[in-house]
Amino acid sequence: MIQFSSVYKSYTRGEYALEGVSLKIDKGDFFFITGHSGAGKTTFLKLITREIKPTKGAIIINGKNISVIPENKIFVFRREVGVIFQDFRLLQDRSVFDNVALSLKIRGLPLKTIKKEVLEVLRWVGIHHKIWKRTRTLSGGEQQRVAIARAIVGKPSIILADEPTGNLDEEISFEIMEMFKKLNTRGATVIIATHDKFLINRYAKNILSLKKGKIENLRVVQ
Amino acid sequence: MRLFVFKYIMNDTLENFKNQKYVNALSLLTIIFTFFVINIFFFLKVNIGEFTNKFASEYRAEIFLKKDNNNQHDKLINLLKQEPLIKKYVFTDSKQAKELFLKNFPELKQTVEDIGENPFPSSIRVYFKGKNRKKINEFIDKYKQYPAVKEIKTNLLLIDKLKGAQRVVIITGLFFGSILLFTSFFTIVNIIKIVAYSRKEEVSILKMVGASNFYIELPLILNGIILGVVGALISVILFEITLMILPYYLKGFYDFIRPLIGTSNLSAKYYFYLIIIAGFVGGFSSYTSVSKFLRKEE
Repeated sequence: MIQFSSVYKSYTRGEYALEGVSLKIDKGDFFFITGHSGAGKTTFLKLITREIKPTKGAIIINGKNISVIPENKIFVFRREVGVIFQDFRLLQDRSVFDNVALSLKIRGLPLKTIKKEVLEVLRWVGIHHKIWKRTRTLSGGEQQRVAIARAIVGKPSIILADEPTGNLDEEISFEIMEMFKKLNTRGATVIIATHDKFLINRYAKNILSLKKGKIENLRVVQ
Repeated sequence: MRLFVFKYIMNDTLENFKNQKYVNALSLLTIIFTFFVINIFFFLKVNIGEFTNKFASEYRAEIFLKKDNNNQHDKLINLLKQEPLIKKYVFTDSKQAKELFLKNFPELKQTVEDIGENPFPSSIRVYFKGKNRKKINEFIDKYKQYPAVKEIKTNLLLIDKLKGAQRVVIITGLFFGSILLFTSFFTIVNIIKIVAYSRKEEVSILKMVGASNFYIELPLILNGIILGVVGALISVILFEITLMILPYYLKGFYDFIRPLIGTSNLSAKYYFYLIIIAGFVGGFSSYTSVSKFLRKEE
């Protein structure tokens, strides 16, 4: 469960990127955050990964107030969260395998196990045939599949996606969204930040709509 | 599990070397130069120190006697025998002095013959007990007045000069050594900074997927340690090779400076500590660089 209690985030004094946000996202929810550019969507996601800390308020994730986790312990929490970006954030000069294996290598798993798990997850996202290709040789859709594989290979309980279809065409976007749906049905909490109305209309049940850092609309279907 | 993490960290370290081979090579050259110069200063310090100690171990005086006064010479020897300050003495008459000189410098035989009269005075070399300079000086002042004594020379001045030279070498070595160590420190800091910046994207991804600071920092710190250790090791090998080939290139000059160099090489213990210090400098400088970099990235 993710709980925001009166969360404020300010980058410059007096100006809030997020202002008094309170909400609860239950375990296993499929949640959309929407709003125009600068509405606070990315800030919201960055707060969940503890990339940034709130200026005020508390963020409780799986029973832990993540704002108070010491810097040298935060990596343990981050392993519970898989993140996907619009620009994929892959190591372009490394192979698909290397990119996905990164999440498992940091856990100190033996290479044999890593190979098995990476292949399994690449098969799931449908890119296993390109396992040894460098990511820069892949198309946008393929790169996003690799990014998804990297995010889910460690079996996180929360998956965050920041404009995951922003660089993709409609058909590929649809396939990627179907993957998120599948992950959600497997039990993961999926939070997607997007301003794509087509996707929202097609997939969204639970929506947080942000405007200038404030909640404009919150729709939660029980 | 830790073992696998270490294996992946080692792979990342090697990857860093591969990706930034030119800057790493440049840094290695700086480190080699630094420790080579430090080796030279230590070598000089050790050998001048040894040379000084050899001389300073015994305080002695050479009492040159006036000619043809055997009676006075005997009286003086008897007086010296009773001196509590003297450990032992060696009398050399003028004939023995001449023979000794000709033995050491046979090429000057004709010159000595040309003088005609034996130019070498009889002398008494006295070895003092202890190193009390005040008492030695009092002894010299006392015996200078003695009618049979022409001149008294001690090795005190030479000892002072050697000790002075040793101090100069130590101070110069410390000065240049510190400057070079700082140069190496800042070189490694900047090299690691370059390596870290080249991995900036990877570091942010590693953080995102939940890598610990240990996992992110260690390859970079190891990079610095390896640079330090390998640099010091190469400097040691180069220095030993230099010592081996030096006599062949310096030839006659080497014989002249032989009392100063080549009497004692640097010990294995010294080299061991040098490599440890180099590793520490490498590790510490890269840690400084990495922690600064990670703080900036947070």
